Amino acid sequence: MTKLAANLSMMFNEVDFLDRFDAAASAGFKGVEYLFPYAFPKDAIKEKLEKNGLTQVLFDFYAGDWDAGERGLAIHPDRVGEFQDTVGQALDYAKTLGCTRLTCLAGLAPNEHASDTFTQTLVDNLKFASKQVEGTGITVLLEPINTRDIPGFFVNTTAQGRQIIEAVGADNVKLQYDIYHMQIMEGDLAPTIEANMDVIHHFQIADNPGRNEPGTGEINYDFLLPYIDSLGYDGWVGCEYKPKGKTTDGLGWAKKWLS
Amino acid sequence: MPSLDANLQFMFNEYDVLDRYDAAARAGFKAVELQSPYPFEPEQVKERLERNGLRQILINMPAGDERNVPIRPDRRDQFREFVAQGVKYAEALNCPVINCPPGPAPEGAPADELKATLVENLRYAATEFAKVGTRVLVEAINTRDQPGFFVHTTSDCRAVIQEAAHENLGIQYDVYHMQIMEGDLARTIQANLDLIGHIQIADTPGRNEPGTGEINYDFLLPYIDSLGYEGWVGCEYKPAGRTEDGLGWAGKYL
Repeated sequence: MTKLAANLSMMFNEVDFLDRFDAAASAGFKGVEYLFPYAFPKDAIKEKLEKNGLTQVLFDFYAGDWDAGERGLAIHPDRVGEFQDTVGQALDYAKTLGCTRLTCLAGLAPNEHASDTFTQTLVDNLKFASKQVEGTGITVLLEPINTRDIPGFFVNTTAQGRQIIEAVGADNVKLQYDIYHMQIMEGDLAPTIEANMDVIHHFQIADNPGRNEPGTGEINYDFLLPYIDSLGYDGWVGCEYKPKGKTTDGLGWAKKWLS
Repeated sequence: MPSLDANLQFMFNEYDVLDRYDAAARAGFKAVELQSPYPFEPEQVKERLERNGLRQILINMPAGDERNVPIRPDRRDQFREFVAQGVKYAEALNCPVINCPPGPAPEGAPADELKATLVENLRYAATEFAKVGTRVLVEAINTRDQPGFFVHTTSDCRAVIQEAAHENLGIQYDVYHMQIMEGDLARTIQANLDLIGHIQIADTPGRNEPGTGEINYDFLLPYIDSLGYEGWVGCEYKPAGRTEDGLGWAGKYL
């Protein structure tokens, strides 16, 4: 059965970040994910997880100055040192929080002609991250993102994500498949998911257009989630959507998968 | 409310082609489409339409064996013969749109020559069909089902039509094909509504009834309606079982 994780960067924004753990647990979620934990002491987060019996499913490497528009450091040849520091920082939090998935945001390509350089830097950085997390049970994930919401985002299709992961060639570096992003970029969801099950290690969902709850757009999640299940996927599915109204009011679609 | 028409090439295959007109009407359809009426005399088809109070919404251009005459520089004469035949049927059946799928590119042929041929042919067809009040549409088709298909994205389709620059041309947007090729359905339909003259539907994977795959038609059909789309929506899907048994999804529209 589909295991849903609440994405606390997008859901439960009615309350402060640390209170979202309580809200997610009350709504029936057993796992949580979010972009970044770094603004909070790791012990404060750990306490929230334990108090609520929640699994920390995933968070991202620090991705640069978010408010200034940065969306990842991993493709930039002049920021390799900084990227390596973010791996250490994420690993430190992950060990405390028991988190076994860390997502790497590739970043914005300022110049499409430098594509080969960005790819090579990204591959090298992922190889570094792979070595750092070796033996911890953590998997590093690469996520393709649509270029309408984030113009210039360097990794933006499943095929490109797969190519980079194959170039890294480590079994602890895999793909995060965000159904919303890939519906915008390429469609053909079920066949693409099936063809890439060997490298997909995490899913995220939202409907399109709007990035709201499943059922509000053109994607048939009532088909897709059981389909993913039927392929033998036993990982988590992160609800990375913007609730249309109050988060709990919009959970009707998820009822059959929450306890 | 979306106006659904039955695609009689795909649906009601339990019956002979002409009998499918009767079956579609019995199931509640008010209109039909049929790629190829050409094995029959126009009068035979017309008689079925009248008997059942149906409208013929769409036919295709004659396709020939190779199915790519519209893009073949060496087949311009044959294209014009096909146009003459299409005009005869479109006029007799009072059919508002005719689909002209470009077909698969011959191996090794230069794309710019194929495109130039298509543009020239479309201009000719648009002029001829305008005389009988029929709009000529170009359909992009997915290259998994039809490898090498010459026009396979909405933007390619739009580019060809804009280059031909004739007001009697438009896009046939097949939701199934475009979900396989590009996704982003609602936005693409909205952005191309100015040129879309016909829509076809099926779910994917499988090309079966809406509701059997990854496309949420319960959202998409009302959405298309809300944009002010005034054309028809053709049910070009392969029924998973008996056609009539699989019409539950369409109940509210028939």
